[in-house]
Parts: sequence; structure tokens; C-alpha cells
Amino acid sequence: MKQKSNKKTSRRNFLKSSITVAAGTVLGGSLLASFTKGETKESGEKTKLLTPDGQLVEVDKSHCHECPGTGMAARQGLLNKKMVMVIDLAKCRNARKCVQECQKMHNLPPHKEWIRLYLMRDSLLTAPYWFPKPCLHCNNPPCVKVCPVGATFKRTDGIVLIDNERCIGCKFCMAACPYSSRVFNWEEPVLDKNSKKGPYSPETSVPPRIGTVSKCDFCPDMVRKGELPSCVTACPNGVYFYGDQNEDAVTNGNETVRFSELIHDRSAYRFMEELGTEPSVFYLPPVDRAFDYKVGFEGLSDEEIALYKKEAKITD
Amino acid sequence: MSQQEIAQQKLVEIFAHFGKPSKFSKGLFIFLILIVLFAFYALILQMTRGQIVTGMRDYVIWGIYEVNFIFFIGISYAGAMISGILHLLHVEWRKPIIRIAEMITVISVLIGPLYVLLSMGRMDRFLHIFEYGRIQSPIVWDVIAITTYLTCSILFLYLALIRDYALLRDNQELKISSFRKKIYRKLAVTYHELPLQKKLLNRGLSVMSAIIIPLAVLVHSVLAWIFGMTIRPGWHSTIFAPYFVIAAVFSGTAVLIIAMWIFRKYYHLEEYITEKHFKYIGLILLVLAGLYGYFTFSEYLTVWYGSETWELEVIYKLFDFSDYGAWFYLAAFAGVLIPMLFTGIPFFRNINTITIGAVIAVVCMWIKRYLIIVPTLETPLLPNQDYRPEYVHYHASWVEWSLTAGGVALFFLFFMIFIRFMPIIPVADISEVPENKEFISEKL
Amino acid sequence: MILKKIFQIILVLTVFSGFNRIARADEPVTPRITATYAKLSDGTKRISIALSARQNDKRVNIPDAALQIIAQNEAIKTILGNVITNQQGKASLDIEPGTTLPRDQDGYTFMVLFGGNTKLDKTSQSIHATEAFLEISLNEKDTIKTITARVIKHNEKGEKVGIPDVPVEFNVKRLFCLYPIGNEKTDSLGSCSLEFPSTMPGDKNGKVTIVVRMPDNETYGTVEESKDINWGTLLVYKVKPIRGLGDTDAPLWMVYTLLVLLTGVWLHVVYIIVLVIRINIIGKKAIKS
Repeated sequence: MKQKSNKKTSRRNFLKSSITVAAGTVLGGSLLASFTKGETKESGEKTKLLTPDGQLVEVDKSHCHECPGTGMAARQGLLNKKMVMVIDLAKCRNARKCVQECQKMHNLPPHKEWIRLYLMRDSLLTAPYWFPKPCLHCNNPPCVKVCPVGATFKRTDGIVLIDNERCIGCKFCMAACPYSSRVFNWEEPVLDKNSKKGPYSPETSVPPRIGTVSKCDFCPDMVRKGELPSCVTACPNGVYFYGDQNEDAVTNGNETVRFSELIHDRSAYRFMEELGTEPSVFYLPPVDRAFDYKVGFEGLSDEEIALYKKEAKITD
Repeated sequence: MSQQEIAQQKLVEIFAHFGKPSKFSKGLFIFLILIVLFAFYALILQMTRGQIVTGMRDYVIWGIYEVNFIFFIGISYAGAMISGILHLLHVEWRKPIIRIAEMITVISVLIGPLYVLLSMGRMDRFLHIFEYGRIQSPIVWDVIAITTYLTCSILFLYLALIRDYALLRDNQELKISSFRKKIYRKLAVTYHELPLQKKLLNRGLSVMSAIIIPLAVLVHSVLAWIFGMTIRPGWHSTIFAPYFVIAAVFSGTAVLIIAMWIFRKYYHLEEYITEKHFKYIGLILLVLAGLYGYFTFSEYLTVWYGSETWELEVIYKLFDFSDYGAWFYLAAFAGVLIPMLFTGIPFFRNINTITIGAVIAVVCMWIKRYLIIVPTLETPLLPNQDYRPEYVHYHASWVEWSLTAGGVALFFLFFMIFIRFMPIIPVADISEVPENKEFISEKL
Repeated sequence: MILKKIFQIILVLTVFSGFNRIARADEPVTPRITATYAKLSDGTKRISIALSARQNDKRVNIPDAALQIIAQNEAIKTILGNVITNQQGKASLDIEPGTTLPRDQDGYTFMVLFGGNTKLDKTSQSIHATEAFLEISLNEKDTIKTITARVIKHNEKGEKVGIPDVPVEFNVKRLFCLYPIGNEKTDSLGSCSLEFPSTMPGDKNGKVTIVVRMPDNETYGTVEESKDINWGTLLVYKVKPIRGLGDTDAPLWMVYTLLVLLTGVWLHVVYIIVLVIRINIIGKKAIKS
């Protein structure tokens, strides 16, 4: 029997919290103990794990050493996978849940955004729309080309990662990236207590290090577990679709669709295809929009709204 | 008098100016040391607190460190190009000024790369470049090219110094400490003006001056390619490498003129470095200013005419007076036209005006490099919708400025140390009877 | 059963609406437990629980609440375990296959208990699940691949009988989720079938995992069954290690150019050093003689 709770607490934490919460209730600790015998050897928490040959297996978390992958495993990528993302611009209303959850997951301070939300307006004759932009994980990445030490690399599964134990902080990759996807650790990062524990892996990007570059990592540690990245699950409008191109399926958590059909039927495009970077992120054009762009101004400060309006040349 | 005796006499004459440091130079030395120490404090601050103490942020990721890097590597062209080319062409009047030029080269190639280290987030991991280096990266090209260039320019300087070291070794009149004598003896490698020795030395110098010219061109091309290889407006240009090379020779020549003026004035070398030297080098500066202006015009005309949105954004930032306009017009027009005026028109042409022109050129070249780096980085492809002003506009912090000042101070300090150990005028060379009746200096 | 459920809902609603009118800040409210039962394809039984309460006319999820789950019949009560709700007020308990549970004639009864605290009343919810099974058979005839699913239960005599007229979903297992390939309803014998799409990518052997499920049914809960078969298109995905700008190894022309340039320059440097040494030797010889 196993305990399952989406809040990732270890068995010990679980016991502790259950005792504190349940204290003074009808549930006695003895009842609980009577049923948990023989279980304490394992962490009790199961986790899904993608084996090197591409199989999803379920193992106990205490057995999961390669999760996330470290060393060469983190540089090579998941076998036979090619991760792609599809972003539905018609559904985005700048709810910013993706940004917040991403920051929470990767222990980023408030202004360090791996996903940036832009208010775009292609010309004065067209309407503005919200444009979420994670790292586009290009197949021909300009950042990887210029790295002098191979600290940023392209994996076989299409994911571009940064090894912040190798990065020398020259920032050449940031200059080379046409999409401003990369951010720099200008000062010593402050880690909060809830951050992921364990040894550093380029797959988790946690803990960050001063003087190195970081960016959206497409959450390969989550993929290994068969779980969706938090930006996908956090989005209230199902904007993000994520999946394996080789399986031809992408999902936003609620619906799972054929990747090829989705990008074909909805006339998907890749941002700035003419740059030749061949991104792994596809955008569905903002047609038949679910929200007016003004909805996105909710909860923003006047300064931010003014800036967005100025950038998108909105006069009203 | 034999040639050796003439040379010894000249050596004593020249070293008389350098023998005892004057009060002024002692004061200057201490002042420069203080600046360097302050820069060191700024460096410690940056190393402990991270690059947050600089004005660089996520969009403008490179600032005046990179500007200084290009600037110092550019200056190094003085020795490489001027001295190299003039040597190859056997121009006799080069002799009194080549030592200054080559010293500028070595010192600036020593200082320039320090700024690359400063702009790195993790200086402590510099050796990763050798451990994990990928030769696809222009930064690795740069590291390889600059180390080679530094080696070659030190060798070039040293080869030309052997004969003077031999003179110093054999000199009886100057009070040289025995320790120093020992070093001179080692450095002079038993050179005794034997015909075969002289032949080999000359061959070495010719080889070195032939190799240092393409090497210098390559170094600055590689530097330009760091920018040229990125898909960014204002950087992604095919003429960037030659443009940088011309800009470098231009600024290098200008710095040489300034150095000549300073040495002439404060070490009383009027008889060796004459107005003619200024006029000849001034003419080289004139040609280079013209070439540089031509490249600038070509670059901006092409981009403006093509009027790609992204490119235009940068161009208009440069043209607009509310943005970088004033600086751009200063750097692109005044920085080219004033030196041309002072070196080109005989009426204005004299030692002081040529030097003023050179100062203007050097300052404007620094500004121009700033205008190449910063406005482009302030113009990302996706609009910069950050509402924090420091993330939108770059302003160098006091840390960056003090480290810049520290580099300049270090440049002068190195010079002050160098001239105590090596004759600033190649004594042995100028004591030779010229092969032809060409002008060497007024004295001869 | 349906009537009972509706009655329950109405009851809960009236209790809550009544509560709201008289509720004061310190008065505890009764939370709502929603529990569902599912039998997964590997035989695991999963009880999913959502805990929420009404506050200021809004339904809010209750996180960090301890819930106890009990399996019971008329004779025995077994405590299955405790779970704690997450930030969305959700929790689930998996019962591994092979665990003996107290059962009644046709299935299981589970009870979810919430102990209550100062702000929330204690409450409980029970669900009953009649045990049902899914059988999958896969047939291939003239390149037409058909999945046939039969939903059955045991009658009083222990015989298998089909459950008619229940919806059945056909899915293919993908990395994160199930990809639906079709929905059908069972016929009078409890079976239904669907043609497998011809262009479904499989792994490198063409293997796909077909997951058939009867979604959340009041009587039976969710029943899921899966089977692997090599019906998918073969995956050909090889990333050859190549020499390129973005790869670990540089293009050969680049390596050669660099080598030529470097040897060219450094040979000259060596030559100069040799020259200096020769000058030294010549000088030494001259001094000796």
C-alpha cells in the first residue's frame, strides 16, 4: 500500500504533519501505526521514472538515483524523445501563473523570469496579444554554437541545458540568443527552504550559482518522472501543450492531442523562423481569441500597464 | 669614433634623462599606484558581491569592460602595424620611434585581456577554457589569437632590444647595479655585433615583422567576430572584421603620436623625435582616418538604406539626439574630421595640433566602441518590457569606471617601469650609418 | 442510487446555505468530501478525494487536512491509511493489487473520514463500488486492427455477465497522458469495439500501450485495463553525432584551418628562439677564440 499525495512530502514529513494536523481529532496515532508496519524502510512515495531505453516505470523514490539525471546522462538526453511545446496564443490572458509556478519550482526570485510575457503588436493596424516566451530550445541554437566551454549544450531529446558548474559566465550565449531567453545570476542567489534538495543537475537547474547563466530548462527532471512541467499544469487556460514529438502527442494536462494535427490544423508557426534557429516551441496564432488583451492588465501595477501600453503603442 | 663608441655615447645621453626619477615622476608613480589600488578594491568588491555591482544587467550584458578590451587591443596596433610595416619597407626614419610603438603593443596586450576576465561572471573558472574549450566559439579563437599575439609582440620587442642590451652590458660610464648588469648580460645573449650575429638578428626581425602584421589583423578580426557572429542589429555585419582592423590601426597610430609627444616633452628627446616624425605619422593617421570614415559611412548607409525594422531601431538610437545622437555625431564626425583637418592641411599641421588631433581620435574611438556595444544590447529582438530602468538602459557603475581608470593607470605604470630597464630610443639602430641618405633624424 | 445522490447534494446545499446565513467567523463549517474510486490497469485501486468547504459563497479547497480512509463491510472495518490534502485540496490513496479488503456481495465500501478542527466540523463520506472488470481482445484482419473491450461483472452465482450501455474510452498511452482514440458504448452483451488508427506512432518496435477505461461510473467507479501490442508505426529517431557549430566536435575544416594557422605562427616563434640561441652560440665561440 502506498500513500499518495501531490504535495511531495517524504514519509517522515508526512507522518509528522499528519500527527500535528490530526492531533486532537478522532484519529489516533496508534491506529495509524497499526497500518504502516514494515513500510518505513522505503520512502513510501512512488515516482515514475523514464529508463534510458524510454520506458516509464514506477519505482520507490528511495531507489531513484538517476532522477534527475546527472553527469553524462544529463548531457545526452532522454533516448528516443524529442520534446516539443505548442503555445496557444488565442487562450493567453497574461494570468502569469506559468511564470509564478516556474519561479517557485526553480527557486527564482520575483524578477528573475524564465518565462517572459510580452504584449506584442505586430503593426499598428493589428490588435495586441499576449505572448508567453519560454526558452525556445532551438534545434540550431545560436547560444550553443558560441559557448567557449560547452557549458550549454543541445541534447538528443531537443532540450538545451546549461551546466552551471562549467559555465564561466562570459555571457556570450546571452548575446547570441535572439530571443532574450537567458538570465544571469548577478548576485549570490538566495535559496529558500522549500527548494529541491539533492546534488546539482543541469536538469533541475537548482541550486543556481552566482556568475552563471540560467534559463528555462524544459523540465527534463519532470519528463523523467512522466510529469508535466509546472508552467503547463499551472496555466488556467490550457495555453501550453507539451509532449514528445516522436509520440506525436502533446498535452496541456486536460486534453491530449496529436501534435502533427494540432500544428497543421491551427496553422502553427515558429517565432522568427527566418533566423534559422528552428525552435522546438510552436505558436498557435492568436485568432478567435478567448480574452481581450485588456484582461491581462488585471493585477498589474500602473507602471507596468503604462509600459506595456507604450511598447504596444496602445493610446487609449 | 667607431660606431660602438657613438652608440655608447648616445646611450649615456639618453639614459641621463631616465637615470634619476624626478619629483614629478615620483609623484605621478604614487598617484598611479593609488588609482590601481582603488581599482583593486573595486575588483575585490565585484568578486565578492558578484557583477551586481556593475551597471550590467540581463539585457546589456557587456559594458565598458568590453569597450576597454577592444580599445586596448586596438591600441596594440601601434607596434604591430606601424613598426612592422615600416620595418619591412626599410623606412629609415622609423628607427627612433619603433621602441615606443612596440612597448605600447606589449603593454596594451597585457592589459586588454584583463577586461575579458572582468566581464566574466566566474573569473575563477577561466581555466575551463583550456579544459573544455570548443574551437567553434569565437571566444576560444580570441584566447588562442591573443596569447599568440602577446608572445609574438614580446619576442618582437625583445629581438629589437638585444643590441641595446649588449650596449648596456658593455657600458662602463652608467652606474648600473651589478644585479641589473647580470640581467642585461643574460638578455644580451653574448651579442657582440659580429657580422653573422647581426645577419641572424636582422633576419629574425624581418621574420617577426612579417608575421606580426597578419597576426594583428587576425586578432582584431577575431575580436570583431565575437560580435559579428551573433544575430544582432549593428553587429551582424560582414564588414565588421576589416572595420575593426582599420579602427584599431587608427587608434593605435593616434596613441603612438600621443606617446611620442609625451616622451619628447618630458624626457627631452627633441633631437631624436622630430617634427618630421609627427608629420609622417600624421600622414599615416590621415589616411587611416579617411579609411575609417569610409568604413563607417559604408556600414551605416547600407543598414539605413536596407531599413530592416530591427536594424533601424539601433540606427535611430544612434541618430537621435535624445538618445545617443550627440555621442554618435561626436565619434563618427568629429573623431574623424578633426584629426584629418590637423594632419591633412599644412596650415594647421604642427606637433601640437597633430597631437590634439590624435587625442580627439583616441577619445572618439573609445566612444565609438561604446556605441557599437551598448545600443545594440539595449535593442533586443523581442521588445524589452522590463519596467526596471536599470534593466533597460545601461549606465556604467563606479566599479566599472574605477577599473577602467585602473587599467589606464596600469598602462602608464607599466610604461614608467619599462623605460627604466630599456632604452626608449633604439640606440644601436640609430647610431648606424644609414644605407641610403634618407632622413633618420635631425641629429644625423 | 441517483436519487440518493441528488438528495445528498440537496441536503448538503441546504445545510451550507443555511449555514452561511447564520455563520459567524468562529463557527465551524462542515466541509464537503468528494471521493471517487478507480481500478487501474495494473490492478491498483485508487481512491481520490477532494476536500472543500463553502466560505463567503465561494467554494474553497482545503489544503493540509488529514483524512482517514476505511474499507468496511457489515463485519469488519479496516483502516487503509491516512492522507493529507495538497494545495488544491486533493489527495489520493493507492491500494496495491493483492491487498485483501473487506468486501460485500458485489464490491467494496470505502469510508473517508475527516476529523475536523476548530474551524471545520468533522465529517465523513462513504462510497460503494461494485467490482467490474474489463477484458480487452485485439484482432488484426486484413490490416484492419480492432480493439474489442468487454465490461463484465460477476452475478450472484459468480458467473461473468456483460454490463450493457456503459461508455467506454479507448486510449493510447503517451508520455504524460492518455491520448483518446475513440469513445464507444457497450452493447447488450457488454462489449464494444473500435478500429485502431493506422498512423499511431509506437516505439522502435512499434509497441503501443492501449488503455481502455470505463470512466467514472456511480456504481462501478472507474475501471481501466491496458494491453501492449506492436500496432504502432515504427519509430526511427537517430541523432547521429555530427561535427557542427552546435556540437561537441568542430567541423573538420575548422580544425584544419586552426591547426594550419597555429603551426604556421608557432613554427616562426620556434624559429626565432632557435635564432637567438644560435646568436648566443656564435657569441660564445667568438669569446673563446
